[in-house]
Amino acid sequence: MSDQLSRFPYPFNSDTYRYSNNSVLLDPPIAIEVTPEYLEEMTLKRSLLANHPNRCYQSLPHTIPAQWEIASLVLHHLHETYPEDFSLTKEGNSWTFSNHKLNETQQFVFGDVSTLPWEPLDFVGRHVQEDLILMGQRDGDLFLDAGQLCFPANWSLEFNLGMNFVEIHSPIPGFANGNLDEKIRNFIMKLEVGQPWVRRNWSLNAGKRLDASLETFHQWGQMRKQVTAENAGETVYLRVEVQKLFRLPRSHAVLFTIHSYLITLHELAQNRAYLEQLYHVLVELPAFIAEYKGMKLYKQQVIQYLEYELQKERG
Amino acid sequence: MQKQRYLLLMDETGESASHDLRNELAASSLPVEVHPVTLESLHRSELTALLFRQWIGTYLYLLVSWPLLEPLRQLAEDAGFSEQEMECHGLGPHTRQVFCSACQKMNQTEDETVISCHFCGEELSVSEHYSKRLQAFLGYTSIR
Repeated sequence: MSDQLSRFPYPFNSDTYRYSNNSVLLDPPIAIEVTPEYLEEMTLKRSLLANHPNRCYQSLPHTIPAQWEIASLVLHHLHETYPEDFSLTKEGNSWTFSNHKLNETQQFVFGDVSTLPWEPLDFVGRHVQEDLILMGQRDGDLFLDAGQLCFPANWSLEFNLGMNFVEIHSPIPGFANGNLDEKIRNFIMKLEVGQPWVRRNWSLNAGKRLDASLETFHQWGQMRKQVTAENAGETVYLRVEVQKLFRLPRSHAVLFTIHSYLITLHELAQNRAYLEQLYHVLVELPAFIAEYKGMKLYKQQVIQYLEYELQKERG
Repeated sequence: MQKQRYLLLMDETGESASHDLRNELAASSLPVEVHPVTLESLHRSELTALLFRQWIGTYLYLLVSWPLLEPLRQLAEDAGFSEQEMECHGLGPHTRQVFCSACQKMNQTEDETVISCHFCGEELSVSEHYSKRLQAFLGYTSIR
């Protein structure tokens, strides 16, 4: 198995897929993962932030204290998990963070926004591959209060800012069946300090595109028309989001991190069990989920490709 | 909240549209107060004072033409009325805002389900996805 495939967060554990709360306790409880794609993805992230600041960063003014909590959590996790690449030293409120991968050092006074070049959430997001979303909890509900989002799976942070959990998810067909939307919201509202959770979400991508933003869908979405059974192995990617949930102890807000991974179907098919299972999932997948996940136009081509690969292996 | 009295604010269009509602409220045993509003009265202090002096237990009805509804609702919210303490009815022709997902500009529309963005020209299908913050529906681009 290739290095990329062995690291890939394969999302399925059954031959059928439905929306569900598939969260499990996160062990070890680390928010951040640094992968060999770090430099490439940070370059892409920084250029998106520079060219499309409103698309990639939004915050409501009351979020600054919770943003500092996120900054502290992320910087500590980086330093403690990857001490050779990231260092953090503190003298009282004077903090120095060094990113040795990017050769950058930032000194700042913790709690004083004027000592950072960006808001705290926008600052730490520039050092990790994850997108970082801040959900405020009040009045028995969760609200999208701030976020740095460079690699969205076809949604708009600028449009969704300020919405509650159910409003955010209202465009997903079938997601409110059996009140699943409210059940998941209630689950997140009970999140406890020190007990983070993780889940994997998936879709297919036509083309290698981490920044599948809603704002540019009319451009990158065109790739969906180019997929054939012959080229699907190289042009279609399985996209997996590893999503983590942390309770912030002081603000009682929730940090939601999203690390997006892409792998070509050709690469994935090198693992026979994965190939077979993805085939079964796609054949069985209800139309309303396939449509929402954006694969309606090329699902049949992908299934044909997977069938062909399966037959090849059977000889 | 236990309703203890009703306050109705209405403009000319609300006069006729509120007929059934007023009968219904009159049949309840609770006091009902009715006040006319216009675009001009919106900025007079009497209206603000009226809303601010209400006690907890006042249930508010707004029956006004669409352009008046949002500023009036905002004023009521500033005076402390929550979503659960009021009912808003927009009347007559309705323009609604559509947020262009491609250029992030706001389009004024009526009830079209597909529009061309007035700013970037992209064809947008108008969805039910609504932002209270932007007071706008999301317009999705397509790949046709």
